[in-house]
Amino acid sequence: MNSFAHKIRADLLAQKSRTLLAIISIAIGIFVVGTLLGMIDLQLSKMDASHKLSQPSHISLILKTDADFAVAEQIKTLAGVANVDKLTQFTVRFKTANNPQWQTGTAIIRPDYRVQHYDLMTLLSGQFPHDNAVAVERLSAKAAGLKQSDAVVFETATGEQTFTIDGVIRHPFVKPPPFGGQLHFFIAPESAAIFGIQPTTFRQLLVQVSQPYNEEKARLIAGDIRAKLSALGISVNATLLQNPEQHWGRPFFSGINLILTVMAWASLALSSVLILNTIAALITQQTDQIGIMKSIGARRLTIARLYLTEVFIVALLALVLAVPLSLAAAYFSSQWLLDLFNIEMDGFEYSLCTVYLMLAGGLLAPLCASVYPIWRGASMSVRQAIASYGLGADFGSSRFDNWLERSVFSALPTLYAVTLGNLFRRKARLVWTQIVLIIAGVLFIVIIGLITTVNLTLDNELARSRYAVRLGFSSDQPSALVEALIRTVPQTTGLEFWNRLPAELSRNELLLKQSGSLGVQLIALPVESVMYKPLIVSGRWFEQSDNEQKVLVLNAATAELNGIQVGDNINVNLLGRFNSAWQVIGLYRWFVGSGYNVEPVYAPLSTVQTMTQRSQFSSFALLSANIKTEAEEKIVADALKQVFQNNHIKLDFYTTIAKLEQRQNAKNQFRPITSMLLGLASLIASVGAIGLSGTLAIGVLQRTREIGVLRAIGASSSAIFKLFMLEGLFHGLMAWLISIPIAYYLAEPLSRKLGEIMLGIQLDFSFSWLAVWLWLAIVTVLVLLASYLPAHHATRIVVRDSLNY
Amino acid sequence: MSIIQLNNVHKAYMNGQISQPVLHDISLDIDAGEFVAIVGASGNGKSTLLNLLAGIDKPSQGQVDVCGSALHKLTEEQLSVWRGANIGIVFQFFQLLPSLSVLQNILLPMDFVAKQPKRERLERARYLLDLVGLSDQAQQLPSQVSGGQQQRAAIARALANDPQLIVADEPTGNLDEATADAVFELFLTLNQQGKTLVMVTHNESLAESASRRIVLHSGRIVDDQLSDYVVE
Repeated sequence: MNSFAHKIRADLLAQKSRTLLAIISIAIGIFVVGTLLGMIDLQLSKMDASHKLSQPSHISLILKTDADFAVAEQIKTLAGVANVDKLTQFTVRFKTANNPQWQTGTAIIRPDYRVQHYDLMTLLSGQFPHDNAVAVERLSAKAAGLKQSDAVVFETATGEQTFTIDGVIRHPFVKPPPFGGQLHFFIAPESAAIFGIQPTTFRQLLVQVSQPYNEEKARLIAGDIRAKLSALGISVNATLLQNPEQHWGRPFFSGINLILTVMAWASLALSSVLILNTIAALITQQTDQIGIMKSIGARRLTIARLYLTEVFIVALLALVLAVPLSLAAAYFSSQWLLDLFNIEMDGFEYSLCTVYLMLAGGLLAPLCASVYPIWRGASMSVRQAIASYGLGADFGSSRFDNWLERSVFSALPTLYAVTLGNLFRRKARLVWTQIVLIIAGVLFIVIIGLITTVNLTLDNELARSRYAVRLGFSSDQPSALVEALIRTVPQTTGLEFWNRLPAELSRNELLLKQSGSLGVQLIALPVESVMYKPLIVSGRWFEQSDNEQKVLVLNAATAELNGIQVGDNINVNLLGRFNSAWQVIGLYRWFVGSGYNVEPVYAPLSTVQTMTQRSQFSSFALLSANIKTEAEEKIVADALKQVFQNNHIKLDFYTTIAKLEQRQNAKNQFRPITSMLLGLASLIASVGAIGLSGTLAIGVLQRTREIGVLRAIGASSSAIFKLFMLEGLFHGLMAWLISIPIAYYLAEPLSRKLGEIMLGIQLDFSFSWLAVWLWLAIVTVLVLLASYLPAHHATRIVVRDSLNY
Repeated sequence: MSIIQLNNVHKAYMNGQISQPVLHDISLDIDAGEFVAIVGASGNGKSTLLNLLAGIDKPSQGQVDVCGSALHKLTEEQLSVWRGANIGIVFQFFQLLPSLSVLQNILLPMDFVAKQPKRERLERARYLLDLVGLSDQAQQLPSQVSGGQQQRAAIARALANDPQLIVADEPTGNLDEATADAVFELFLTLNQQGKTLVMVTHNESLAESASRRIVLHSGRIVDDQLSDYVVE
C-alpha cells in the first residue's frame, strides 16, 4: 500500500462517525432516487404490459337494454370494425358465510369464458364458472375474504340460490372495493336464465377497430356503431374509448410520477448538499495536513485527487448500501400500487435503467458537490494552511457579525449568545443546512396543505349536493311509483326526479372531444333543483326562465378542449332521434376529473320531457333525509334498496349514491396519493435531520478545542449538552420560521398545479395552518433527535485531549 | 498554608504499547499567595505539571491536592465544576470565544458557575475589565482587539469567579515584549492583591521576577528557589 492509500485509509477510519455520516448522506439520496424512479419504471411498464395482455377493447359500449347476439354480428360488419366481443354485467344481491346480510354486488356473464376476444378476464385459480359454480374476482376475494369452495347465496329470479365459488378471476377494469367498488362475481352462461337474463343477449359490447388504431378513428367508428344501434332501437348509456397501448390508469400516474421524479432528484441534490458540508468540514479539519503536504512538495492536483478519491470510495460504499435497499423498496411499493389496479407482479423485478441512473447519480453528484471545497482547500497556500491556532477568528469579520453581536447577542444571556454565535460562525454551512431543512418544511406544509385542500374541495362539492341518497335505475321507472315507494321510508324529507339520456354533442358536424373517458350523458333536472348545483366557472346555472328552453350547462374542461364559450350553440342528438341546436349558458367544474367516468351535460328537465314525450318516467330519484352519520345513512340506503328490490325495480350500482359513503370512497381514492406524498415528505424531513445532525457533529469536531476551553473555565456537561441542543433547536426554529412565508406563497399555485396534474381538477385552496404547527412539532422532535448524539459526544470530550487537538 | 500539594506524582502517556514517562516522582507544596514560575526546556513536562494542577489531566500515580480538593479522585464532570469555582486558567492563545464580545467572554464563567447573583455578574465583569484596562473595549469582538488586549481579557475571564488560584500556560508566549511586560505587570498586581499564581513560561527574565522559580528537567524538579524579588 503506498502512502496515498495509507492516507486515504487513515482519513476514512480516523473519524468513523463522519465517514458513516457521509455514506448515509449519499445513500439516502440514492435510495430515494432508486426507489421512486424504480417504482415509476416498474409500475408503468407493468401497467402497460398488463393492459396489452388483456387485449383491451378500443370501444366499449354499455347499452341501456339487453341486445341479442345477432346485433353484435351486425356491428361486426360495419366498416372499420375488426371484431367484437360481448358480455352482460348486472347488479345482484348476495350473502356469504362471512357476512350473512344481503349485499349488493356485480355479476358478469360472458358467452364463453374460454373464447374471450377483448378485455380478457383471466382465470387465476380453480375453474371458470360452470353449472352451479361461480368465480369471484381477485380483488373481491381479497376484500371479502372469499376463497374457493366457499358458498355464496344469490337472490335470483326464482328465489335464493346457493352457488359455490370454484375459481378466482382477474378483471382488468375493476374498481377496488376500498375505493367504493362492489364485489364482482362471474356467472356461467348456462346459469343466466336463473338471474332472469336471456342467455343469447348481452349488455356491453366490446369492439376493436381495424389497425392501425388511432383515437379519432375509434371516435368516428363509435359514432357509427351508436347510430347503427340507435337504428336498431337500442340506446347506449355510455361509450368508453381506450388506448390499447397505454393502461387506463396511466394519466393518473403520469401526473404524480412527474412530481415523484422531481422529488427524487431534489433528494439527491439535498444529499449532495450534505456531502458538500461534510467535505468542507473535512478540508477545514485537515487544513494543517494540507499545509504540511504542500510544504513537502504535494501539488494542488495531487491533493485534490487524494480527497476526490476519498469521496469516490464513500460514494461507492453508499451505493453498496443503497442500491439493494432501493431495489427492494421499489419492488414492494410497485407491488402495492399495482395491486390497486388489480395487477400482480410475478416475482422480484427491478428496473435496470434505474440501476444505471443510481450508479451515475450516486457517483457523480457527490463528486460534483465536493469539487469546489476540495479545490479551494487544495489551492490554499502553505502559510495559510499552517497558520491556524487558538479558537479561530471565524466570527466578527463582517458587518453582519458586528450587527448580530451588538444588536442581538449583547441582549442575550451568555449561553444563548454562544449558541447563536456558533450558528452564524460557518455561514455557508448554515445556509446549506437551512436550505435542506427549509425545503423539507416547505414540502411538508405544501403536502399537508394539498391534503387539506383536497378534503375542502370534496366537502365543498358534497355541500353542493343536498341530497342524502341518489337512486339510479337500471331502466327508467314511473315517477309516481318511485315516489310511493320512497315515501314508505320514513326518514325521507324531500324528493326530486331527474332524467338521464345518452347524448351526442357535435359542432360543425364533428363530434366533440370529451374530457370524460366514458363518454357523455345528458342529465335533465328541474331548473329550480334544490338537490344539486355544480360549481359554475363561467356563465350561469339554470333559472326559472330556462324552462322549456334548449339551454345547457357544459363541463368547462370539455368546452376548453373544443374551444366552446358561453353563448355558443352546439348540436345535441338525444337517443339518436332528437337532433337540434342548444345554447351553452354556463360552464361547470367537473370534480371527478378525466378518469373512468361518464361526463354529465345538464339541461332543463321540462325541455327534455317535452321533446321526448316521457314526462312520467325518471332515471334518478334524489331524496333528502334526516341523516347525520354514515351508519344512519346506511340504514336508509339499505331500506330503500330493499323496497325497490321487493318491487323488482333494479337499481344501477354506479349511479346509486349515498352521499357520506361517497365522501369516504372519494377520500379512500386519494389516500394512496396522500400516503405517498406524506412518505416522501417524511423522507425529505429525514434528509433534513441527517443534514442537521451532520452539521452539528462537524461543529463538535471543529469546536473540540473550544469545548475544552469551556470546560476549563467551568462549563459542566449539562451546560455543554444544552449548548449543542440549543444550537440544533435554533437551526430548526430558524428553518421553520423561514419556511412559513415560502410555503404560504408556494402552497396555492403548487396545490392547484398538483390538483390539475394528478387529479385533473381545479382544487378549492385552503392554507393549512395546522400543517405549520405540525411541522413545528415535527421539526422540534427531529432537531432534538438530530442534536442528541453530537451534543452527547461533546460532553464526552476530555479537556486535555481537546486542548491538544 | 499550602494551596497546592503534590505527593510522589508520576505521569506517563501511552504511545501505542509503550509507556512514555513525562513526570517522575514530583512532590511539591505551594502556599497561598505565592507567584510561582515553572521553567524548563520544551518537552520537560511543564505543561503536564500545570495541567495536573488545573485538573485538566490526572496523575498516573500520586496525589494532587489543590484548594482543598483531591483532584486525582474527581471525575471529569466534578473537575469541571471544581475548576469553575476554584481556579482561573490563562492560555497561550487566549482562547476567547470568537462570537462573544469581550464583556460576554468574562460573563461566561460566571454564568456557568452561577456563584454570584445575576445582577452582580455584569457589575463584576465591568469591574474586571476596568482592572485589566479594557473598559473601552467591552463590546468589541475578540477579532477586533489586539493580542495583548485579548490576553488581558483572558486574564479578566480567569478572575471572573474570584478564584484563589490562577494558572497560566505561556501567557506571554504569543505577545511582543512590551505587551508581555504589561501582562506580567498585571500578574504581579494580582499577586500583590493576594492571588496565588502558577505560570509556565520560557521567558527566563519574567520567571526571575516571580516569587518562586521551579525548574523542570526530564520530568523532575531540578531547582526550586525563591527569587530575588521576594528576598528584596
